[in-house]
Amino acid sequence: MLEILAGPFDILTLDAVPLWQGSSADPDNYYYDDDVGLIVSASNLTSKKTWLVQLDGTATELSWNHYGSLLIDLEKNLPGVYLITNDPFNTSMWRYDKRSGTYGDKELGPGSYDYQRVRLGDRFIGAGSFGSMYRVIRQWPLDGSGGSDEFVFSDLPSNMGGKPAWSITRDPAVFAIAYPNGTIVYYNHILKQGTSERSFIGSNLGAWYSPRFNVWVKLTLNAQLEIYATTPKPHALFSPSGTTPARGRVTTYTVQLTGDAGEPCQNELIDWSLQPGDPGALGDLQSRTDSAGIAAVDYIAPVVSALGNITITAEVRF
Amino acid sequence: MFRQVYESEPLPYMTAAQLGTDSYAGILSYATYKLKTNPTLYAEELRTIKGICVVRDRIATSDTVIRVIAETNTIVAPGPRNYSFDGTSGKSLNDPVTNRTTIPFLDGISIVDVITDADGGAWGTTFFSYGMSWWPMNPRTQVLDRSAGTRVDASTYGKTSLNVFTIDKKHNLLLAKDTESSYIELFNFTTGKLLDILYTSGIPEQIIPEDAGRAFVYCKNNMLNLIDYVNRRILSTFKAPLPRFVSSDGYQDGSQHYAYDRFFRRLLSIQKLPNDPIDGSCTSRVKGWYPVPLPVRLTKPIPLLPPREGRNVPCLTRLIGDAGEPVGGVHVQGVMNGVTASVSPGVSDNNGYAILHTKATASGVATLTTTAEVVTV
Repeated sequence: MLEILAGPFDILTLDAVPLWQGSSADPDNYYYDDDVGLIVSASNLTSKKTWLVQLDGTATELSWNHYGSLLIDLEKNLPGVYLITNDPFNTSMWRYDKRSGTYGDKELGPGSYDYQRVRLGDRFIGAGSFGSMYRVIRQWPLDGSGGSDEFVFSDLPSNMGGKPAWSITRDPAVFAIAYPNGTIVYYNHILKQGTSERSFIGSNLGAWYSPRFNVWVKLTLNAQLEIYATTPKPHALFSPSGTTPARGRVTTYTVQLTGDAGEPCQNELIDWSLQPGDPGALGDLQSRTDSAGIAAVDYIAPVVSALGNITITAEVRF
Repeated sequence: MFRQVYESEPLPYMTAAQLGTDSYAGILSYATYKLKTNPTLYAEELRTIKGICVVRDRIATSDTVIRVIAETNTIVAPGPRNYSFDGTSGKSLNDPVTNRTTIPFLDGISIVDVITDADGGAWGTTFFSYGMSWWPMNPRTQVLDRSAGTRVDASTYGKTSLNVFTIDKKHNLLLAKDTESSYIELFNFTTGKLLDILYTSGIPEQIIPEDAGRAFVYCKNNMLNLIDYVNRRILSTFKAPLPRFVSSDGYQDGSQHYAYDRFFRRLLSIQKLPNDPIDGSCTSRVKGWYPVPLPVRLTKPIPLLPPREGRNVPCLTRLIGDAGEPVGGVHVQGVMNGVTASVSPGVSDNNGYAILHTKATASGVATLTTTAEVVTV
C-alpha cells in the first residue's frame, strides 16, 4: 500500500458546501491534471457544473456540466486540450479545453468510444470493452472502428472493480492504470506490454498520478481526496542476512524493507548498530534502501582480537 | 476575482421639483411605468439598465466619460436617462441643478438595448424592432444613425432576434449567442454566413469586446471567458467580479451590464440595486476592475515525500482565485509546530503552486501553517 501523505480532505466549495451528493463509481467523469487540479463533472454533484478540485479538496466552479469521458490525446498533444466523448452515448469525440471546461472542435464521430482512454499517434487504447475484463488492454483504429485485444495483465483477477483511471507518467512511453480495487499497473504503449511493477492505493472512485509532483491523487469511496506517495508505507523489515564472517574479512549484510503487499520500499534510511561489546565494526551506521527495498552494511571482522557472536540490528528511521 | 480600481457616484435621481420640468411628463404616462413605491426624497427609481459604454470626451479631470443608458420609473412617466460619469474620478457629470440628462425625443424613449462593438462604437435597438434591427448609436447624444446601409438585421444571420451579440467590422465578424446553448456563433458580418462556433463556460448573456480580436463573454453561470475569436480559442476563465444579479421578475436583462474600457483597460459593470431604504436614493454605481486574478484561497500544504526525521520534505500549496485560476509571483511563508524544524519559504509559480521545504530534526506530529500576503487594492 502506498504511503498516505495527506488527507482525507472533504471536497468543499469556497462556501464550504460539500460538492458531492453520494458517490459515483465511474472515474471517466473525473480527471486530475497538474495544471488545473481534479476536473469534476458528474450528475450527482451539489450543482450540476464542472468544478476544479485542488489537492486539499477546495472546489471552484469552472463551467457548465459535461458528463462525457475525458481522454488523453498524445496524437495532437495540443496544450491544455483533452478529448471528451458526448456521454451518455459516447458516439462522438470533441476537443476539451481544461482551463475553461469547454468543448472545442469535433474530432471524430459517429463511432463507438465507450472504452478508449488514450489517443496515440497510431491508435486508441483503453481497458476492456463491452462484456470483457478491464484487465485487458485493447486497441482501436483511429477512426474508432472495432478494436482488438493488445495485452492482458494475466496476473490480475478478472474482477478489478470496474473501469480504471489512466494517467500519464514521467516516462512518455508508460501509462499508469489505477483500478477501483486499488491495484495500480503500468503499461508501455510502445512495447505494447505491461510492466511487472505493481502498486496498491486502496479502493477508490479514481486515482491519478501527478507527474509534476510525483504523488498519487485518490478519490475515495466517500468522495474525499487523499494524496499518496509513490512509495509504499514501510510495513515489514526482514532480519539482516549475510554469510558467516571470517577474521579480517569484510562481510556484507542486507535487510529488505517491504510494504504490506510485499512491495519493496525504496529510499528509506536504515540505521545499523552492532551490539555493544561485540567484536569488529560496521562500515557505516546508516544506509538507504534501493529499488528492491534492500539496504546493505559492511561488517568488518577483527584481524587480531578475539572473535565471538555478533548481533547486528537494523532499524528503519520512521 | 478581479482587482477593483474604479467606482462612480451613484446614479443621480431627480426630485419631484426637478422632474416637474421633464419634457416627457405626461407623454407616456402608462401606469405600469410609474413609480411603484411611494416616493421619498426622489421622484423616480431605476427601472432598466440598457447599456454602458465609454467615450473619449475630454473634460477638466479626465479624458473619458462613462455613459450609462437607462430608464427610470417616475411619478409621471418612464424616464429615459443617459447618465455620465467622470472616467477617472467617478463623479457624476449630470447637470448639477436639474440633474437632467440630455435625451433625444424619439431615440431616447424608444431605445431598449445598447451594445458596444469592437471598434469602440455603440449600437442601439428600439422597441419598434426589438432585437430585429440595430443601428449605430452616438453614446453622447443617444441618437441612432439611420443612414442607408448602417442597419444590422437579425435576419441576415438567420435569426429572428439579436440580443446577445457584438460586431467587429475590422475582422468583418459578428459574434452572437445562439439559443440557450453554451457557445457563441461567429458570422461573416457582411454576408451573414456562419463561420464557426466557440464553446463557452456557460450560456452567454453578454459579449463585451475587449481589444484586438478579443472579447469577454459573460455567461449565465456568472463566469467570464476571455476569448480570442479571431484564432477561435479561450484565453482565460474567471468568475465575474459581481454576483449575478437577477431582478425579482426572474430576468437578468436590464439588471446588469458589462463594458470594457479600452482607454484604461478595465472591465466596467453596473447593476440595478435596491434603493436606499431611508431616502430612496439610487445605490447603483459603475464599478471597474483590472482583469487580473486575485487569490481567494491558499490551499493546505501537502507533503510531497513521506515525512521523516532529518528528511528534506517539500510541501506543496497553491494560491488560487475563485474560479480556480492560479495566482503567481506571491511569497508563501511557513511555520512548523510540533517538532523542531526549519522551513524555507516558496514563491507561487505561473500555475499558482508554491513549494516550501521543511526539515524536521526530530520525529513527531508536526503542523505546517502557511501564509501568503497579497495586496488586493
